[in-house]
Amino acid sequence: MKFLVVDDSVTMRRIIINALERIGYAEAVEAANGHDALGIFDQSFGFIITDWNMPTMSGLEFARTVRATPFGQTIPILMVTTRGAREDIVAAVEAGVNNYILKPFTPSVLKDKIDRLLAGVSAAA
Amino acid sequence: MRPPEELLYDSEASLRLVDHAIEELNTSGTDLDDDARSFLEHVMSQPGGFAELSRTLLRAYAETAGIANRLRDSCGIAENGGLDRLQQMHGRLREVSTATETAATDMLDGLGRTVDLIEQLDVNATLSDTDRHRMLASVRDELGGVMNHLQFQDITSQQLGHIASLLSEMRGRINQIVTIFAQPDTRFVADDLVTGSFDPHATTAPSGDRQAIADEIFAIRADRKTA
Repeated sequence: MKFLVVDDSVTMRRIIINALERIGYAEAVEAANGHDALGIFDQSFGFIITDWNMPTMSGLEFARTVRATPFGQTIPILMVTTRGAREDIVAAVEAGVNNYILKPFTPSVLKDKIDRLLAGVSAAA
Repeated sequence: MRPPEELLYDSEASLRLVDHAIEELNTSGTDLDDDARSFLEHVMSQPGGFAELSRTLLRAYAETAGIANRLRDSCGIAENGGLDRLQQMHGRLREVSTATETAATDMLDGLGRTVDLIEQLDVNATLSDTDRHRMLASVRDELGGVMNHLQFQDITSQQLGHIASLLSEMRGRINQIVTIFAQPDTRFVADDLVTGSFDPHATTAPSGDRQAIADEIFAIRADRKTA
């Protein structure tokens, strides 16, 4: 399973990738914003973890754009962000985000969300 | 106290009456002594006579009123959110300071516990494989926890981004005030407003309650999809 980790903070990307390695997912590619991520996104990826607030292209816009691509309609998108207002969360749902983690988070929360989303993908397949 | 516009109007009317009376005296041919005639001629020889004085008063009033309006404008600029912004910045800076200290303390505690575990592993040669694996797992968990605490850096950088944008906005307001009082030919270069990709409400506080709201919203969405 190849992950695409999108966050403008190098620290956050390293934290997420480290957590992924600890829960058994060693293959991850990182990007600093939605625009860069779109440049490398293809059907080889099985999971997207994205921040919301990023320069150039936000995570919300990135999610919408991914959903509009032929191979981005079913890929699980997990948003990891500080934005906890109800209207923000609803906007994420409407943009096509599958689940949502509020920072600061623990690796166990990350694992739980990934497991649930992947279980959903398996059930749908 | 009478309003300045009313006083000015009365003063101007009085001056016009005086000006008119002098004009009449000058043209009526009334007998005047030499001193009075000389004074009258002096007054009439001034450009504009008394009527000009009333116009000077009007100009002075217009300038004074303009300054008063600009003072009111600058007070408005300062009051219109400026003080609230300063209060927000103060709160944000305190939060960043506290978050930094808490994260540093938690990381030091985690590293301290890791060192203790490594020392136990080092000196205790009689540990069973099970205990050794358990302790190594604890070391990994502690180090993972230390890494996880570094999330504060991302969150506080967003808080600092918010402070930078508030400072930029304040600088714009101060520029507006300075421009009001500056010499007419002074030109200020407007700074670009700091706009960044930050969450103005980012917080290092535990995310449990906010996460529960997110989970609830996504659960409703999942229910609708399966319905």
